Amino acid sequence: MRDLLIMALIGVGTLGMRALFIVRTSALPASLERFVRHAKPAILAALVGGSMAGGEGGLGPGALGALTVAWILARRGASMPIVLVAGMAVALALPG
Amino acid sequence: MTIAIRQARSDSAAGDAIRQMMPAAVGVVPFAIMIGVAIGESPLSDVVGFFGGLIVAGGSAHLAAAGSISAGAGLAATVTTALLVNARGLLYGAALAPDLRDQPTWFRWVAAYGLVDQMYALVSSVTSRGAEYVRSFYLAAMTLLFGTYMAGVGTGLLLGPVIPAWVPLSLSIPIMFTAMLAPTVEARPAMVAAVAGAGVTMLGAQLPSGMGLVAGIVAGALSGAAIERFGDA
Repeated sequence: MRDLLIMALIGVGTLGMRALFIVRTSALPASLERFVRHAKPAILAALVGGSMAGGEGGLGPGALGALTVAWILARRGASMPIVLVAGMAVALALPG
Repeated sequence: MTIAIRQARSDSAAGDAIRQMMPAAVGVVPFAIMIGVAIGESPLSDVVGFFGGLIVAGGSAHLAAAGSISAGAGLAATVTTALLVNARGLLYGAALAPDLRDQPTWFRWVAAYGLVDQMYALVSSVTSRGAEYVRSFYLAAMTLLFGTYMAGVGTGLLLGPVIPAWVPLSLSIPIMFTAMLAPTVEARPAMVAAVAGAGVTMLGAQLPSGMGLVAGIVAGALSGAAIERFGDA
């Protein structure tokens, strides 16, 4: 029930944000636009940090190696399945 | 005669949408399968996790919700995180709003619901083709994209349990987020936003209800915005 409530709140909030300027007609303030633009790297990095600090694999050499390889491959344009398989292979090869 | 012409235009718009959206729809399949596997691995129930894809209407936010719950975040932190992931919908909505002004209200709500990255990229290129064409195009493209995504998530949920236990599936979420993060970190503001976001989140890992995650996101986004605004001063 709690999970469903979480999804419902995210869904309603998302619809509200997307509809705000489509259904109503007003402009996005410049400061908010700047915040939203920089939110993406902040969110993704926070989720990585939160996953590692929260116990998803911990901060051992295996997890750190997996994320490093994922970063390098993604920067070079590798597709998501390749990044995922390579990252997990490194995690398996390294201790912890 | 008018009805026949309208029908032909609709068919043409739907066909155009399917042809143009197909590569993007096929492209989301591997990502959707992996989200399905990650949801199966998270504490989320499979049913809520699966239909969450349609409720949340965005793959990254769908994964963020699963990732936040896996990281032990509470309701407020999980919802805030996923909403911040989807906050770029504000920008898409603001950018697309002038082109949808002639559309009926019901369609503008439907358009808002389906306004994910791929839809924005595709639809923003056909908005000059007339209201009726855009409506048919949007509905066909959205149906194909969302249908494909949900099929992928379902496949991932089915595949998850048959993957051997020695495969470190718990790392799938941080690896996917890292892969999504790396291409976004080009300029200095984005780098600062990412470092501050991860750093503050890890420092605040012991805060209750996963609020360290929200603090990290806000600190990261504000740092990036501040560097962009004042960095050259």
